[in-house]
Amino acid sequence: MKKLKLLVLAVLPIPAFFFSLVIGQFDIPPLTVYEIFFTKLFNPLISSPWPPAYEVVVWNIRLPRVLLALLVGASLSVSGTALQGLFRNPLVSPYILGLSWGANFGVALSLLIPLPFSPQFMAFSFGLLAVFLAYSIAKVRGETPVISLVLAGVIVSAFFTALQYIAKFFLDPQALQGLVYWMMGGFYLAHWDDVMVTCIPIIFSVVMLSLMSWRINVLSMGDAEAKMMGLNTELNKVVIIVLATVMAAVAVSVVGTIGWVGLIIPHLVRMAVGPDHRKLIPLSATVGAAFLLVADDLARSITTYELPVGILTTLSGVPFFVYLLKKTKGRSWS
Amino acid sequence: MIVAREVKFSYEKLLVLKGIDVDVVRGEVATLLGPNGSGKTTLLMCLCAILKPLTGCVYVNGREITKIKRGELAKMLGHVPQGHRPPFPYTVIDVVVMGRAPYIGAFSMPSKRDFEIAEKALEIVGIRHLKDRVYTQISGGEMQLVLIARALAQQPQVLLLDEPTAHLDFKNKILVLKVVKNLAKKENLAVIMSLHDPNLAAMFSDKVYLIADGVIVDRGEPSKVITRENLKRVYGIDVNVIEHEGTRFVVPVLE
Repeated sequence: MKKLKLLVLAVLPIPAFFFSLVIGQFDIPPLTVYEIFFTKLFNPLISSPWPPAYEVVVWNIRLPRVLLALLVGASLSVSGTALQGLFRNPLVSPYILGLSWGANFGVALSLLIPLPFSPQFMAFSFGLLAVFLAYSIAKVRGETPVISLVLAGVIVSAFFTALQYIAKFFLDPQALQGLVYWMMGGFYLAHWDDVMVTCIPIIFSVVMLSLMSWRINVLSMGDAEAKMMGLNTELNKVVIIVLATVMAAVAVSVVGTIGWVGLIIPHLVRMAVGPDHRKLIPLSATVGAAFLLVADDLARSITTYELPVGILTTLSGVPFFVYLLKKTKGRSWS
Repeated sequence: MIVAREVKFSYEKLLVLKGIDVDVVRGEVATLLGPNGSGKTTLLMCLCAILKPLTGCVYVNGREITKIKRGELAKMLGHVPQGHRPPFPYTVIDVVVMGRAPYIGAFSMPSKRDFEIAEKALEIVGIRHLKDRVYTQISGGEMQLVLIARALAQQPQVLLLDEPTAHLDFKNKILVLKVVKNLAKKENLAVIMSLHDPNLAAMFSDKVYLIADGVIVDRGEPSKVITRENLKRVYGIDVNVIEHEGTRFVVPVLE
């Protein structure tokens, strides 16, 4: 029974993937969708018996979007799980150290001043800059206590929020609208290039954090105890923060600041399988991937035009989370 | 086995340890006894290199402690923190196996053998039956034993315990200290613990360091150290020391 639950959670992205491929405004029979997918996958050179538009929709529009949603979902969830474990705090998300506000400001800046960098690059670098600033502020005499890190994250977020408002003040209405859309996050511009750019850092970080998952157990006992069990806590902390930040920054730079996934999925998985990070990290990846993919399916199909998926992740996440919290009475945190 | 020489330590400008010497060999239980704020916890933190002495040195197995890497030190010295609540409800065996961390690489998982060692450690402290229980749902005494088992899983030669009887009821105090004393003898460990209660110190130690205000007032066998005069000096209250079947008991004088 327990094993079955783990297995189901582990393979969840597979049915979600095949379900999502057939969803869309453009009406294509499901069987044709799968036929196109498998033919292109295994026999890309075969001449197609279906209309060329079908192939474009399935292979160049839906598939990259579905893959990107899987990658981003896995990224934000694993990042959140690793940081919650490291910080021993249930309110931690990938954005705790200022990543999202840094990224927002980076995009605002790129819209305000003509720069030789893409908005994606600006989001990525300012996201990382914010986290680096938070870490530097929290560091005292070679150590970074968790509480200082969280507070430094709050300070840095406030700083970049203010800067971002200044930038907004000078933006023309059209650019402002673009910024607002970006901040809500979505996959409407998903492209194969985005999948290519994000897949390597995200998969690398998921694998590395999965390998370090038992370490995160030990670190979650607190700095002093982890030290007495022989760990170089500062080095471990830096490695985990860098992996969790880079993977989330890559995701944010491509699809905007999608909220809640990195906060809620770690909790959901912890409630389902317990606190051991050896299971928690890899299953956060699979459950998070499936969750964001299905959320995006809804975003692009419940109305005639697209909703930003960030709104849906929050709206669908809240009641589910309340239900689980009531049911488990918060027992997955002691 | 573990030796401290002239250890001084200060928080900012306040000198908390004013030159302390400690010598404990394997198989021996040494107790740091003294009132609140006397420097017991600070001394323990210096003895496990969490704090670095202002002057003076700590040696483990003849080597200066600050020159030993964390990972290697964890194989020589186990530390049992005061009872605490971890943020996640891990199972007991998962907590104990964390003691294997110094033997496990950064990108590796505990092996079957590590779990066997962890189970053996639970057996040594007599709580193997709790192995699959949730750590946050067991009693305070059991938690303390789990933390001792975790330190044992490190396979150290020195065991440091910070007030192992704090917040425990009468029966659990005795239970935990019996386990500690047994460990020193059977596993041949050098044990240093801090205690508040002179009676428990007298019952379970081979050697007592009486500490007040950052200095060692007296040291030696409990019967030599736990005396009327010493306790008056350190705690400032009058006591009678009674002997019963070879053990000494301290009874406060009430007017």
